[in-house]
Amino acid sequence: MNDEEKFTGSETPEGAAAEQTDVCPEAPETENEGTVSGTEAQKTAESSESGEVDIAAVNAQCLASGDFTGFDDAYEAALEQRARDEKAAADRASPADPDALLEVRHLKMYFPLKKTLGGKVTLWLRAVDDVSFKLKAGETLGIVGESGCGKTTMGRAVLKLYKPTGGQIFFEGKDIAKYKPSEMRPLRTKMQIIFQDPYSSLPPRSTVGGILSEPVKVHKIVEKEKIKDYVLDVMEQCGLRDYYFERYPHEFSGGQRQRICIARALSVNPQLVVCDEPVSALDVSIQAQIINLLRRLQEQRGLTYMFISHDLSVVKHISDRIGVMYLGSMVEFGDKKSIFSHPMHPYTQALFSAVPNPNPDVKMDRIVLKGDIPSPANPPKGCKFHTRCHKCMEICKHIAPKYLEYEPGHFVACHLYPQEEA
Amino acid sequence: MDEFQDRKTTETPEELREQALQAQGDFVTPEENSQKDELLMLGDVPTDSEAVAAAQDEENSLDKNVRLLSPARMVARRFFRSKLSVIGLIMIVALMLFSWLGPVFYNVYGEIEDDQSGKVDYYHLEQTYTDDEGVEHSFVQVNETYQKLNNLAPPSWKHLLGTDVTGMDVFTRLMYGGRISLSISFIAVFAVTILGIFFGGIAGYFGHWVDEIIMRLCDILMCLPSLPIMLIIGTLFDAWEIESQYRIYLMMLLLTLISWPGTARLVRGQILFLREQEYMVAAEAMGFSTSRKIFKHLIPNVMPQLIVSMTLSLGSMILTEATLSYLGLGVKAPYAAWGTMINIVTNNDEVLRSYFNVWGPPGICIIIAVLGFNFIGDGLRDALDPKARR
Repeated sequence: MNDEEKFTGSETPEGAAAEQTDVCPEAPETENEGTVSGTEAQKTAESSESGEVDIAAVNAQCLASGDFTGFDDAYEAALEQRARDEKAAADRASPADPDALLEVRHLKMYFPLKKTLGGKVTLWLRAVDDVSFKLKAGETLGIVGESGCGKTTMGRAVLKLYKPTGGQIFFEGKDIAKYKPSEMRPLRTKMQIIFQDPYSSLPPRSTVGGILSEPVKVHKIVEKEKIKDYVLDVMEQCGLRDYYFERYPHEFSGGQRQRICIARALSVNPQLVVCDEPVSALDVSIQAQIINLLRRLQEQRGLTYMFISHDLSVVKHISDRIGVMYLGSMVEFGDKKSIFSHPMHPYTQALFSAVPNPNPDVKMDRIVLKGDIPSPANPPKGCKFHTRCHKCMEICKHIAPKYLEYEPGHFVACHLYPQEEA
Repeated sequence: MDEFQDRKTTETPEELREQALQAQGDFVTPEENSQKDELLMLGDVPTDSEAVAAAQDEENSLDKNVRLLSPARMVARRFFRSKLSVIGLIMIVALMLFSWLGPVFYNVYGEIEDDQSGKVDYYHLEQTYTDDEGVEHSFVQVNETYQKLNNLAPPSWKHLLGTDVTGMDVFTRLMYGGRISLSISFIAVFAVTILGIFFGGIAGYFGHWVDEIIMRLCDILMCLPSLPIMLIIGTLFDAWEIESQYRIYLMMLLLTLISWPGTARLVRGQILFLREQEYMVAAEAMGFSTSRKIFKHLIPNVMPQLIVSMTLSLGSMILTEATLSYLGLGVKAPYAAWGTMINIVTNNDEVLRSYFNVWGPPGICIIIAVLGFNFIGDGLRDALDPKARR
């Protein structure tokens, strides 16, 4: 595998572009914005002129015959990258969907892993790689996936807690991806986050009242004299008693702390709340309480949730739409009903087969995924999931599937389904 | 038997529990508190709505009556539970009272006032010789001399610790010396801490090249040998004829300029750790300004470690001040500082051999001060350790 990589890497006409890890992620995007030049014909001409083997022709032949000996992965990967970047550039100009509160297009969040002495990054960790989705106001989007698949990173990148490497984030129709921190500040009241660990997400040296009134004070949500009443009101909505106001976070249990976190997020009257695994640190009975609280608050305040979790039963309970992530990419996205009734991607099928069924008579035919999730610094070629897929085909190892809409609102990226756009 | 029955009728289980609670009421930790909540809820099986309301009331009143223990109060409790830290505190408070209030009450002599009451000095000379017949004779010659300056007087009611070479009262000078030594160390530590928080905070919060520059500056400053620099600056002060009262303050301020890197590193490390905590991400998500995040969220959480290091460095600052004064770089002769008072022995070994009352007490004072600050620092460190229970 390794040898092949090196070999093909040096052979390709665009060696630099082909070695994905070498590319500065912003470079190809900017390059393609101005000149959409990279057509296949041009490249064929270039490579035949330079006297090398006509890779494009060989690849096309391989694809047609189904025999992948001599297929050039790196060349294909470079083509794909180019196609994706072109699509991102083409989408860039189109206006935001007016129905969606949040629209994410081709969001990329890369972290530098290795740098040369000059500061040039030689290895990127692709935590979120080209993710797109829309979220309507008042709905709940459930994001599921294994640990380390980039769920949390995506949630934080959407809130601009990280600076996204590329892509667009439309919130209320405005592209906030390139906003400066100072421009983001007034928007912060409209989008909030609830964290996984209720123990480290509350400052240990302030009282509950102090924690909850600080954002109200900073953003001047209500007049100064009314702050305490307002905070007590929010606390009551979140199921916290009024005398907790003077207490410190360490005096509370996990569930109560999570209620405090929810109250803090709601104290600024947000529209979008990113719930980053808010219940996975709690025990089951408390989980139910918190989930029900979140649903009640959604009804009362018309909140929009982006609910990140690895627990499918929780996501099924709370979500309207579900996105399944694997290794930084969205592999399937659709309505809850449509995804739960007929999951299309093999990874989604495997995930759903792992949900325990309380009925002992139902025989479970589990699809067991072998091996670990690959490193997002060096993802597999072709379809990222092919190393663990139980329906893996030869083409999956070489060409990444396109992310296409098969039913209205149901997107899948898999070679099992036709790859031509409808 | 009768007694037992009596008690049973008068005291219901609830009353007993209440009594037990009142007995414990002095110190209730949150853990105990929550346990009690559970107990109450398990114990009360409400039969009708009144009972439910009553149970609710009882629980509420109990919750409201529990004394709130803020983190600061819990630290104070743990601090005073350790004997050593209380001893340290007593030592330091006693030294401070001695230095600042002492001269108010014991005002017979001033700081640089020499005792001109005069003294009579007796000088014994014993001589032995053998005469022609082999008989031994011995003479004792007693010389009585009178001098105006009452110097090197032994401890007496007139001079509690005697007088030094120049006839000044050692006890009085000890008090004035304490003022300088203690206040100097506080000023220096305060200045070091301010500089440390400022540079460490900036380096830790902003990271990247800011961090690089500040940390390399720290490395350079830590390489500088402070004593030779102090010697050079002391000579410069001599050349510029700076008044001896002020030169120690200037000297210590210069010392802080080269000793802040330690504190800065501590603050930076702590902030690097805190910055990754989720409540800082929450603060970012709340859209708080940078200064608010640094000063309201980061610095208060660095303070515990900082207080410990400040207390411990108070002791070392006193030592540094004593060293500088001893070397003649700090407070100059007629004015008192503990180090200056010990300095007397350097050019008078007669004093070193026979007059412990002149150089011993300031040395003991230095030891008490350093020990006291170290005890307090150790106690604070234990009290502020969140992992230490009780």
